[in-house]
Amino acid sequence: MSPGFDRRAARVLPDAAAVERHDAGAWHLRAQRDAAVAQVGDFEELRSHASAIKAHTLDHLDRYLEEFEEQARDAGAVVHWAEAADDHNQIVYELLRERGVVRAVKSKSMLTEECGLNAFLEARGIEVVDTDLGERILQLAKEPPSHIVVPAIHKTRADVGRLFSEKMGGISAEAPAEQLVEHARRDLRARFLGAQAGITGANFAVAQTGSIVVCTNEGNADLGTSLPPLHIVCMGIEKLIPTHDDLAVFLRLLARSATGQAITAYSTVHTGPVTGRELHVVLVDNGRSRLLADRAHRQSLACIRCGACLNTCPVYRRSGGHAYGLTIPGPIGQAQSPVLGGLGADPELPFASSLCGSCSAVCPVRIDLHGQLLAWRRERPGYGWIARLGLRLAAAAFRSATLYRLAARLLRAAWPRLSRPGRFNPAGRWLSSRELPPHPGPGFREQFLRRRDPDVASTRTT
Amino acid sequence: MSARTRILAAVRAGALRERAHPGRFRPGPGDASWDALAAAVAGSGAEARGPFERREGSAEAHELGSEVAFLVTRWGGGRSVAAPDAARLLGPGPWETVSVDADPASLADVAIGIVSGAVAVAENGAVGIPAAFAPQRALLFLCERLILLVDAGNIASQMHIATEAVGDSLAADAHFSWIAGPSKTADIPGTVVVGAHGPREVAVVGFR
Ligand code: SF4
Repeated sequence: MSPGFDRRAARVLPDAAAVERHDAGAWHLRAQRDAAVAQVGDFEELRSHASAIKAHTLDHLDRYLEEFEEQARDAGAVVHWAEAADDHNQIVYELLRERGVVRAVKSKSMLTEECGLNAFLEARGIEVVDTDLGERILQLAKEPPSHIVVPAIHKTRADVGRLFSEKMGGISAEAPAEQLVEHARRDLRARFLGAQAGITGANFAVAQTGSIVVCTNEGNADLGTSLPPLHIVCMGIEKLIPTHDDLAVFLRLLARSATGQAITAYSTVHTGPVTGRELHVVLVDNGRSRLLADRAHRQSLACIRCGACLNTCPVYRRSGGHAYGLTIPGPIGQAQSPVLGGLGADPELPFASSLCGSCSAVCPVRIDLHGQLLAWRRERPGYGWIARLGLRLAAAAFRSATLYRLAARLLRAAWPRLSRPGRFNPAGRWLSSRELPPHPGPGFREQFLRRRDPDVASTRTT
Repeated sequence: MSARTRILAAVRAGALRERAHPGRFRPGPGDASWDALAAAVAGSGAEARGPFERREGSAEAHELGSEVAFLVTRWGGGRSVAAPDAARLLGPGPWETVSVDADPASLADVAIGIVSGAVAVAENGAVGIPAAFAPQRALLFLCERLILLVDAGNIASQMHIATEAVGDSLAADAHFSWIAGPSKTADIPGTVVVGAHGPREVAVVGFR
């Protein structure tokens, strides 16, 4: 695994207690998912059905995009197309600038994170306030999200208390969670009422009627779109689904997979603007069409961003989302990163996985996540020269009996040294989070020889 | 060439045209009873009450109206505002009817919002609210406490069936909201806190 991954993980989760807490928090979501899923008799059929809908939609995505655009336009919305992140940012900026907007509220959207919209707008004098509580916490802390559903999962109540008392004032750092939420509620309520525009993502876009579907538990997207006169939706082109009947399938799967709720508290379908208001939809490609063209990897575009694969992943749970260095962490981020992760994506990311398959087992749209990671390992062996040299040597040793015996003897001799932690141990970094198994003792050949002829064997051992 | 043309061309190049749509999902048998709905409503963190008899006339003249008036008192009164359809169902009582063209911000001080739903879903406790039932959408999210009126004859066991029942509003209305329980957040790790932005309490009141 890449040293970058380890170092980044250690920054967010610096000690065993932090790792433990993060692990437990994510696993709690997984356990709640299991309990919710057990209530639905046909959950496995739903997963297969959802997977088939997504596969079909991706196979005909151009048609569904055109249908969506036509229907949305008929309903009175304006549809924009953006090839790359900056195009998207520019479109949103122009819409705001032309209407003299200087204060906007935004509800959770991983796409605007991916595009760096906040920084882009702030640099041009437009204040954007994140209104999802988790995102607000991170906006104040100036940190990226570490989870796609619970963006501040790496924080503690004490972290939030300190942050609020420092950055917002008027509240004690020791305040309980209820008071912290109430404090944020009051602050954000005023911002909702004063906002001139609401920006949201989209969980789904229904081609049949040109509708946008936004799901939240806090109701922030609904406040942000029912108060200001302008609503801008920023969404990736992969969010399309054909019909409302299909939407019912996804609404049954999404919250159960994400948090174990039967449905999110608020799921709102927007079809065109309310009379006298404006609705704009920005359809963003930013690498998605390239991923679509990749037959082996396109299935990862089916993701509905439920976060279940993060919650269950033993690597994610113990490393935290920031370790991945991606907007979308966890198995799905790893699966998409070689294409969507940008040039800065860590080439060793597909290796940060135990390939246990737990992610694929919970994914509501049945993406073969661990299979995807294995495929990337084969296609882009992104590991460094030390690992490559090691594998070469291993290959050579397995080809020659003499070399194999020599290597086994050397390793056995070096074992006591290798298992001692310390600066001069070549395996030191690897051992910082692992333990070597005990010395395996003499190998089969030696044992065989010793039993057949104890005298001969004793001269050969050690 | 426009961005639209280029994106569509790139998408078309990757569109395999292989897999067919799986058709409608056929859900297994479900329970569309009031009790099933009440259990799911409780699971969403809201309270289910009723179902109560409803009659035309003033609120005191029938069970549903009296129950809602009781809830308004229990929740401490304050400015109570009903959407037009809910006001029609209840008859005159201790609430005002929201004006369709009110400035949404004028609802910022509403203590109790009262809105009716077109359908309720027994599997998840969600109430479906078409635009016609909540012409001032902001009322649903600005109020401190929310009362949702549901006809006990309009319960669907699962989302697929509910979607079919309200298909026309989904296709034609500018907005349609599924609401399940109060606003909540788990963003401060370790606790679920109710009342993140929207209503802190929700009551689903059934009638027939
Ligand atoms: S890949 Fe599957 S499990 Fe992971 S976030 Fe996407 S939909 Fe959820």
